[in-house]
Order: sequence, then structure tokens, then C-alpha cells
Amino acid sequence: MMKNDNHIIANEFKLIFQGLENTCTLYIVYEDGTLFFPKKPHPMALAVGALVSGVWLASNELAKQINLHDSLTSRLSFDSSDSGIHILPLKTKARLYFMAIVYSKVLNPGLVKNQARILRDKIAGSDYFTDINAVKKTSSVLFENISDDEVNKLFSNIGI
Amino acid sequence: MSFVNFQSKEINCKIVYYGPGLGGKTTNIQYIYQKSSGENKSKMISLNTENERTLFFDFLPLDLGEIRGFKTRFHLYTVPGQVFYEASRKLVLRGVDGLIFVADSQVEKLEANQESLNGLYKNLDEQGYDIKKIPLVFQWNKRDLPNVMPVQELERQLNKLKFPSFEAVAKDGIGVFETLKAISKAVLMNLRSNV
Repeated sequence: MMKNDNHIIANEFKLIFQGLENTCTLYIVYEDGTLFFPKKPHPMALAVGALVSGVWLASNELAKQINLHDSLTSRLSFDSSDSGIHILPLKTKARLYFMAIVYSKVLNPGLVKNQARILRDKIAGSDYFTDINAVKKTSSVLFENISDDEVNKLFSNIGI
Repeated sequence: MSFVNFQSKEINCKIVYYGPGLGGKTTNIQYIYQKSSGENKSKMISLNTENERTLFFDFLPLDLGEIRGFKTRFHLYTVPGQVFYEASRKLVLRGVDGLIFVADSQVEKLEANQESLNGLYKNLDEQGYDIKKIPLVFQWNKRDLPNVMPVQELERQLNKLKFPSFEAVAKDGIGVFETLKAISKAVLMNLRSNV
């Protein structure tokens, strides 16, 4: 992954969503629900990641039941006339992500969805994402001999 | 799959509570949520039916401290236990790093435990996991009830691969953190580095 990848994505978002950046929020999620962007999320953003992944995967399974197999050209929206969430698959060379735009009180939701597609295509065609952060199953273990004390200390951070 | 970010020194891992319906999976993470505190306390999400049964999943992110310089975050999920939610269970299992099988210790629940465990093994196999290698911990829940099976019998019937196991009364918090810490340790020691 390139250095400052989150910074680059944030800049692309600002550029493509110029004039909309105060009413739109961008999330990028790994397939398993882990948040990729933003890197320093507020607690609610973690839930957004899990739910975006869950709703997409569930919808995809539903689509398979009616022979709508090409999920990479699909998109998913849950919205009213001026607010909502728009989810797109983001397939890079390395893996599948989900990109979600949450928008609130915008005059032209169609523009938001169009800009979302432009941003998705820009990111998907770039080298922002590679797979070096993913753990390779064939490589060596990261930690050896973790003690119970270390685990207890880890959990003490949340009062457990 | 777990993600290790070497630039920001962050680890994200996914732990799934699996087991038969009404076995205590949601009770486990509700207890963890109630007892966790501090500025890092996160919000718990539950996708339930009207009568409080898990419909899709419960989700609780845990922002923990650092281990050997790596900031660590665990994502706890439960699956819906009821038999007809098999498709949902498969989805929740995607990318799992560690599993807690919450068994209902009552004698009359043995068949439900076995059915759920067989389903787990089948689903893991379909997703390319080697059941002998994935971190798994058993929790023998509801030990306070009068009609429970002896632990040795549960071990013999359900834990044939001799994974670590803990007795629990999840509604009272007994065994909840012991189980979570055991799977956390197993998951962290199973993490692999590509450096």
C-alpha cells in the first residue's frame, strides 16, 4: 500500500465531491466488514463498516436467488428524496471492497451517486490499494509466546 | 481475514460466536458490552427479530490496547442460531479469524449442539478453512441449570479435536471473559507476518 493512502483517498474525495463534501461522508470497507477508510474512525464508523458489508453480502445472496449474478455492476441504495446511503462494490487488483457514501440533505442525490461512481472508478483504476497489508497464510507467525499477562493488559484498556 | 497494518501498526481481527439457538451467544457479547468502559467503549449493533432473536448478527467492536507496539481491535460477531438462518451464518463467517462455539450444556440440547457444530465445520470447509488450524474455543454455557451434561461428556461428544474449553454462566458473566481472552490469545498467536 502506498504511503499516506488515506490522505490520497481523502483528497480524491474532496476533489470529486467538491461542494458536496460537507453533506457526504465516505467509507471504504473490506469484504469482512473491517473499515479501511477512514483510518482513524469514530466508534460509530466501525458499526457502519460491519453493516455495509452485511447488507451488501445479504443483498448479493438474494440477487443470486433470482439469477442476478453480476454483482460488480450492481449498486445498493437506501434513501429518501434528499438523504441516504449509496453502496458500490470496489474491485481492485488485490481484492473486493465496498464503498459507501452517506449523504444528508442534498439537493441532487443523483449527482452524489454519479460522483460516487466516478470516485470508485478512479480508486479502482489506481495503485492506492495493494495487498501487502493482508496477512499471508504461508508466512511466519507475527507473535510468539504471548503471555496471559500481555492479554490481560490488552483488555485492561476497556476495563475488563 | 485479519489485517495487520505495519505502517500504522494496527491489527484488526474478527471473532465469531457460533452455536445453537438460545445457547447464549448474544448474552456473551451483551455482557462484554455492559462491562466494558472507558473512552474506547464502542457501540453494540444487534439485528434482531421482534422477539429479540438474532436475525442476522450482533456486532461489537473492541478497541483494545497495544500488544508489542501494535494497536489491536477485535470485531466480535454472533451468528443467528436458529436452523433456518444458515445462509446468514455463512455470510457472517466470511473472513473469520477465530471462533467461540457456545454450547448449551442441557442434556436435551445435545442434538442441537451437534447439528450446529456439524454446520460450522461444513461452512468452514466450504470457505476453505482447515478446521484443525483455525483458532477455536468451546464454551459450555448454562452450567447453573440442573439438567446439564457432565463436562467430560460434552468434551467427548463435541470437542473431539481437543480445543480449549471453558465452563460458563454467560448471563452472570461467569466464564465470559476467560473464553474471550483465550480465543484472543489464540488468534493473535495465529497471526502471520509477511515481513
